[in-house]
Amino acid sequence: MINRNYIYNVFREHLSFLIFAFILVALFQILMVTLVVEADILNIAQIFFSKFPPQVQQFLGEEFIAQFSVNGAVAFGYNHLIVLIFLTIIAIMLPAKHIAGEIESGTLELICSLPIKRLNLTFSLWIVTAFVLIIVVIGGWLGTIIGMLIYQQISNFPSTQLFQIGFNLWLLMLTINSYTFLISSYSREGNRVTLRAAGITLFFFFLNYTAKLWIDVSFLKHFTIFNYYQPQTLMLGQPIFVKNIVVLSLLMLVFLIIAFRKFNLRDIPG
Amino acid sequence: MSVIEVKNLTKYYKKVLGIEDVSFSVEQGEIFGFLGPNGAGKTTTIRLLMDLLRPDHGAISLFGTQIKRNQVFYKEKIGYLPGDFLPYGEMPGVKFLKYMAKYRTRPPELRQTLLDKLNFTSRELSQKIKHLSHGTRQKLGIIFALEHNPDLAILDEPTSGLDPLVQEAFYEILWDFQKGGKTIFLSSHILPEVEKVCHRVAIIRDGKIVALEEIEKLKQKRPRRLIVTLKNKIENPPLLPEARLLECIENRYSYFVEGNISELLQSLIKLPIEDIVFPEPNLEDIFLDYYSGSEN
Repeated sequence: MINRNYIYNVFREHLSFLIFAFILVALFQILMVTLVVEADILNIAQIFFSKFPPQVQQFLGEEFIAQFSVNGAVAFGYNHLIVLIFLTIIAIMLPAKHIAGEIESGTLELICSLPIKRLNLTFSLWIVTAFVLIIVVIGGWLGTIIGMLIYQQISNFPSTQLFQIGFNLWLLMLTINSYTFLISSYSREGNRVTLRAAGITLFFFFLNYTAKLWIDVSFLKHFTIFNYYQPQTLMLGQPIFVKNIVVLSLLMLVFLIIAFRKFNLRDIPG
Repeated sequence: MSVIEVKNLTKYYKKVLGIEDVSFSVEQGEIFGFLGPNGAGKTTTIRLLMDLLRPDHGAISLFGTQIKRNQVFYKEKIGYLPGDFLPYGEMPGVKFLKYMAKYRTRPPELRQTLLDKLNFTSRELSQKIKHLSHGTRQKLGIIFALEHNPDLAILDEPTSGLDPLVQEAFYEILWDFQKGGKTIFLSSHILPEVEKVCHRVAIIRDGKIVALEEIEKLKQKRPRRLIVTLKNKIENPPLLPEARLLECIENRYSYFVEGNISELLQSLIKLPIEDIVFPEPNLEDIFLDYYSGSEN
């Protein structure tokens, strides 16, 4: 089902970016813990929060204040744009480059002329992507643990919530990855796939914020994948983990099945 | 035994014709030429053989087995060189060959022989592919396609970019292959090349096979060329029966002879002739005839 030669080659090609993303995400999580512990941000935030109009206070809710605790900062760290952008780059880059991009460059024609099934290729690529993404998530976990150890907060270590957040983040990224696979399997230009997948992701991201900010269109939140990843809410212990996992897994499976099938049937180059 | 058997193969790119109703077979130990200009359907046919493109209609049998979509067992026995050989630019040649060889179960037993025959230096082999010249990249492609000693080599315009010396070395490699009982399917628009190395040829035009013959038979069947040089240039080129004027340079006229030669000779007597030449028919003439056929 998988081809180790292909997996090794793709993995080696992206190893330096993986190491960079791993270190950056880990350092970012250490920074989050440092900021909360060292700068007494909770006190500052509460004063700041009390100055907002009541409607805004209601909108921001307890999640806002909660994220200025150590655990809240950790959760915020997993929802920060830096982390999301780095993981999204990986989720989009791999299928865009290795399917549509390699059709464009002609290298996929060479690979497909060899005794390897197309399904093995796509599945192997998915395995690499899933592995690379989980490694970066583990970088985040590691950063959190190191940060909490440095500042002697480890007795409050929210292991279950942290696992849920990391797993949820991984699945969110795999969902982004799966629709990039789908777009890629219909295309023959890597850059175009990257732009389209990034555009869709941005659309989902802003739809999520619009639905949160504008009560009249709050129903739209069900149609954005970012609604199924709320680390602050998970950190507060609210039971949304299973729902998030089910929705994201189903979406991912549907996109992947269509993408793999289309790639199997398509012309190379087509 | 037929190594390749293609029946009524049709491929459209949406509404644009790729190939239509293409049928031919290639026997074991044969060097088969697939001749046609750019856009005639050579690459489409080859990509269909390699299961890279999906046919709209028709069937392909390789090594006596009808090929179904996504079957890969037969690819082990095939060496493929695409028309645009575009390997990973960042890889050195040697790494590329090693990487690709890992997908095959057959060892690259001919690599060193091919490197030597094609005069591929170790310096070229260790350079990144993007820094290699077009010709050197093409040599790398030939090594990639043949190093595992395949039973069938499918080569799409293999001599593109090769200098004449390397071309000769490549032909030697093909003949050695053929002597070893291997089959070669070679596409080209270089007529002397096909004439030189192939046993049989299929000519494809506008997606359809217009001729499928042994090279020698094809030469005999097709029109011969006649070059007439007159003593003086005349205002209107002489129109000869059974012949079609090809070109006129000063007092020199080239014709395709298409019919009865005795009638033609009788007409020629009446002209102020300085010289007459009947050159040996070659595929260039055959090619021109096929491609100008529709215009006439």
